[in-house]
Amino acid sequence: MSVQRPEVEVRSADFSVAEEYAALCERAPECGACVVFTGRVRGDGAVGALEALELEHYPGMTERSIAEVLATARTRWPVQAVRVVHRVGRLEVGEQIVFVGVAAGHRGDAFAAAEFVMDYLKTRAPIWKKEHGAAGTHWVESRAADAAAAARWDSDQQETA
Amino acid sequence: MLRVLFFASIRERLGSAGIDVVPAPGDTVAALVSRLEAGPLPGCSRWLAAPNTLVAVNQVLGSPDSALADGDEVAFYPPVTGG
Repeated sequence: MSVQRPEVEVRSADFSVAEEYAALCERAPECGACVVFTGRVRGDGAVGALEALELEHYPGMTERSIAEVLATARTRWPVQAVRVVHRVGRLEVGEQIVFVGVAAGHRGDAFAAAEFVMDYLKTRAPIWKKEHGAAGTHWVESRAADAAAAARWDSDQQETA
Repeated sequence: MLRVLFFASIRERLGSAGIDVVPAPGDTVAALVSRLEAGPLPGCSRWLAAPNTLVAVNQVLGSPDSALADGDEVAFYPPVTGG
């Protein structure tokens, strides 16, 4: 029996997808679908070749805002278990940044909820990325595409209301 | 006291991660910014009152009109880029 783990963790230590997946299935033993997503540090950035990303966060509010995203996801899809791990601190190219896992009865709900969690997390969680490259440092700017992706979930809600 | 926090590029611009401020009666976020501008952080309103700067009061998203009371935590930060 695994130790009860929180649904949301914000920390610097890396995570193991295999371990997270196993824990999720253990919490939702009757799920028919389990979707896992990882976000990773890409090699390209605004300052050219990236050396590392530095992630800053607002301790307390970051966890709270992600927990709110999960609560919202639960109101829209019949999610059986969910887990988010978001790393902060200095991360090198190729390192894992974020894990989102969703267990549900069926794949439609699991895929949709996981995508929703990422789209909302990216526009709401107080976390900021700073790129470190050979040419210097640069604070990543929020993207219109991310705002649009999050807004899409809101307009979907209105259409079905 | 109000515990005022600054994050990311705003923190760098102001050269400060945070400051404690004595609250004033009928305080709002906008009033706080004016007091910081007139007092310990001249020039700060350029960043704190910028249209896309976000503000959280006690870790809940707020606005310039948000009321403030003694003991509140007020955080100013740029648009988020996590995930």
